[in-house]
Amino acid sequence: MKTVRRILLGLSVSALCGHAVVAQAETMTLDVMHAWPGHNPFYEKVAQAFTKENPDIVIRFRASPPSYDEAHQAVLRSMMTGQLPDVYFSGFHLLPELVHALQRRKQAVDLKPFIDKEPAHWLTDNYEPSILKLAQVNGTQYGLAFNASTPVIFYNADLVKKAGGDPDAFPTDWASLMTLAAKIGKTGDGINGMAYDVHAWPDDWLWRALIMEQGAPIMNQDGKTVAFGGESGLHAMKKARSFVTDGAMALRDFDQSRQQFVSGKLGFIFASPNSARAFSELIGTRFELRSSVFPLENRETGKVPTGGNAMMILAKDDKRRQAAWKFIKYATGPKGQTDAVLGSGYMPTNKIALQPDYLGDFYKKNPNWETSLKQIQYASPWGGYPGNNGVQIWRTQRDVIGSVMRGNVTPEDGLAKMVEATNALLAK
Amino acid sequence: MNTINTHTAPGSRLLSRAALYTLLRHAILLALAFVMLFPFYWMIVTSFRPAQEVFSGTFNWLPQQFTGWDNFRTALNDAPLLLYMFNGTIVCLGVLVVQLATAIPCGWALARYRFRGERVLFGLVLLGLCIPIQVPAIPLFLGLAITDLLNTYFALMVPFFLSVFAIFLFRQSFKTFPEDIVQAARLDGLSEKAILWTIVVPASKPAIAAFAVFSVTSHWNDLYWPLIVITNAELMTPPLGLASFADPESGANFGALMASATIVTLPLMVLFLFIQRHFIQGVTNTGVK
Repeated sequence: MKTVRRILLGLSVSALCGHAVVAQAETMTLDVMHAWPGHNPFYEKVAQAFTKENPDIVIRFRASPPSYDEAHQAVLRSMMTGQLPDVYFSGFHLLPELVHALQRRKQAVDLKPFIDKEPAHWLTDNYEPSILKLAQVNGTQYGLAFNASTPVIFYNADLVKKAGGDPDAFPTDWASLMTLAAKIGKTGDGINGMAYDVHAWPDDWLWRALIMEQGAPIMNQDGKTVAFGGESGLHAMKKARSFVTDGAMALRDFDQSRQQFVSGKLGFIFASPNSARAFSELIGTRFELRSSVFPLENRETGKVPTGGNAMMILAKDDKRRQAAWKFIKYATGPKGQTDAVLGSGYMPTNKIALQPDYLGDFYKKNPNWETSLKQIQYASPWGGYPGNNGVQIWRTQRDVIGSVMRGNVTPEDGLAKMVEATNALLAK
Repeated sequence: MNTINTHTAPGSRLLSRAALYTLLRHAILLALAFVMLFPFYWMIVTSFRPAQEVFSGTFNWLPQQFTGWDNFRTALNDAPLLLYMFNGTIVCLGVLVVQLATAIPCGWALARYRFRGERVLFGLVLLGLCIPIQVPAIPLFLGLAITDLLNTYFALMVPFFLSVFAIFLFRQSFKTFPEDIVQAARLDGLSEKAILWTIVVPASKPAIAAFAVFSVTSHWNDLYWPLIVITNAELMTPPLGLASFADPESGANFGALMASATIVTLPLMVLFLFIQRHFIQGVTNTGVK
C-alpha cells in the first residue's frame, strides 16, 4: 500500500517537475506541535510574526495534546508511523527520553551544524550557558529552550501584614519563612499559612527542588541509582512534613490550593512564574499579589529545577530542516521571546530580550513577572530518569511523599521505601 | 397496626398522611434535582462573571458585576468552537447511524431467532462489554496509519461503528416485544425484515432514544480517541475547544471555559429535551406498558 503510494507520489512529483521553480518560490508549510492547548494564543502570535518576516514559511500547528506527557506519547506514536512533526516543543524533563528514542531510529537531529553556520558570537550573545544546558543530552545540543520557569513564591501581602510581617521584606530563608507561615495560619478561621503542593504536583518538579536547593545531586555517578537516599533526601522529607506541622499547610490538590490562594485564604504558594497572569486576573483588587524568590537552603551550590520546553527539529529532509531552524532561531530570539513571555509569564530564554526595547521596560513596571529572572543563575536542568518509567516513578514517589506529609509514615521509613521503589524502576 | 389505623382513622387524617408523603417525596426529588442542576446553574453564572469573582471568599447567587457576552465572545474567538461542534455533529451522527443499522438487526436476531452459535455470539457480546477502548487503541491506530486514514472523520468513527452495548440493550428490549404481534404480522405475509423495521423498531423508540443519548454524549465528549487519530486541528471535536481554556499549567480562564462549556453542552441539552418527548410517545404508541 505504502510503496504504491510512494510510486504514485514519485510519478506525480516528476510530472510536476516543470513547475518546480514556481513551487519553490511558493510557501513551505511547517508542521509544528506543542503541548497545552491553552497556550495556543501566544504560539500563534509568535508564528504569525515569524511568517510576516519570512513570507515563504507558514507555520501550521497540530492539535495540541493537553500535557507534556500526552504530547510526548503523541510524538512517540507519530514516530512509529513516520509522521513526525517538523518542529516539536518537548518538555525539558522528557527531552532526553525522546532523544534516545529518536537515536534508536537514527532520527535525532543535532543542532550543532546549524549553530556553526551562524556568526561566531551569535550563540553566546543570545543564550546563557545555563539555558543552553536545558536542552542538551550528553553535551549535544538537541534543542533550544523556548519556555522556561523555576519555582517562585506568590504571596498575599495583606495576610503577611496582618500576621505582623513586612511585605516589602519577604523572608528569603526557610526558617523565617516557616515562622511567617505559622503566624499567617493563626490570623483567622480557614486561613492556611502556605502551600507547597509536592504531594499533588503532576511531575517531580517540586520534589527535585527540595533536593537541588541543597546543592545535592539527584542521581549517583553510576547513573543507575538515585543519590537522595541519605542526608539530602531525609532533609527534604522532614522539610515536607514540617510544612504541614509548622507551616499551617493543608494537604489539597494543587488546583484547590490555587483557588484558596486567589480567594485570599492562603498566605503564600509555591508555583510556576507563569501563574502571574492568571493569579492577578482572578484576584483583581481583593488583595495585593506579590512574588518572591525560592529560598535556597544552600546559597553556594543550591539550584532550582527549570521547567518548560525546548524546540527540536524532527523534520527529515534538509530543506524543511533549514526552514525549521529559521523558525527556532526566531522563536527563541528576542522578538519571539518577547511575544512568548508576555503571552505566558514564563521567563525569557534569550539574553537580548531583556533589553529595554523588548522586555526590559515591561519588567520594571511588573515586578511580579521579574522574580524568576532574579534566580536565573540558579536555574539548573530538570533531567528525567534513565529508562521509560518517568511517569510511573513520580507517581510512586508522590504517594510516599504524601503519606509522609500526612504523618502516616516517618520521614526515615518513607525515604527508604521511596528510594527502593525508584531504584527498582530505573533502567539498568 | 397500620391496617387498624386506616380502618379507624377519619378521612381527613388519611388525606393529611398522603399529603405528607407527597410532600416528602417532592422534597427528596427537589433536593436531587438541585444536586443535578446546580452545576449547570454555576456554569452559566460563572460564564457571566469577571475573573476576580470566580473564587471569592463570599458566596453570591448572581454576578456582582455582569460581564455580558464578553466571555462568550472570547470563547468563540480564541478557539474555533463552531468548527469543532460541526465536526462533533458529523462524528456523532455517523457513529449513531451505523450503530443503529448494525445493532438493531443483531439485537433482534439474538432476542428472537434460535440459531447455531447463538449462545457463543451472545457470550462474545457480553465479553465485548468488558473491553475498554484503551485496549485495542494501538492496533487500531497502526491499522489506520498503514491504510493512511489518520486525520479523517472515518478514523474518528470507525472503532465505534459496532456497539456491543447497543446490541445488548436492544436484545433486552426486543425480548419484551409481544410474540403475538410478530406472529400476526407473519400470517399477514410481512417479511422478517419488514417486521423488524416497520413494527418492532417504531415500537422500541424508548430504547433507541435512550441509546442515542448515551452514544451521542459519549462521542461528543470524547477527547481520548480524537487526540490519538487526529493531529489536524481542523478536524478536532468539541472537548478540545474546552481544553483551550482549561489550562492547569498557567491557570484556566474560568469565564471563557464556562462560556464554551455552555455552548458545547447546549446541543446535548436540546437533544435530550427533544428525545424526552419521544420517550413518552414511544411508550404510549406501542400500548405495551
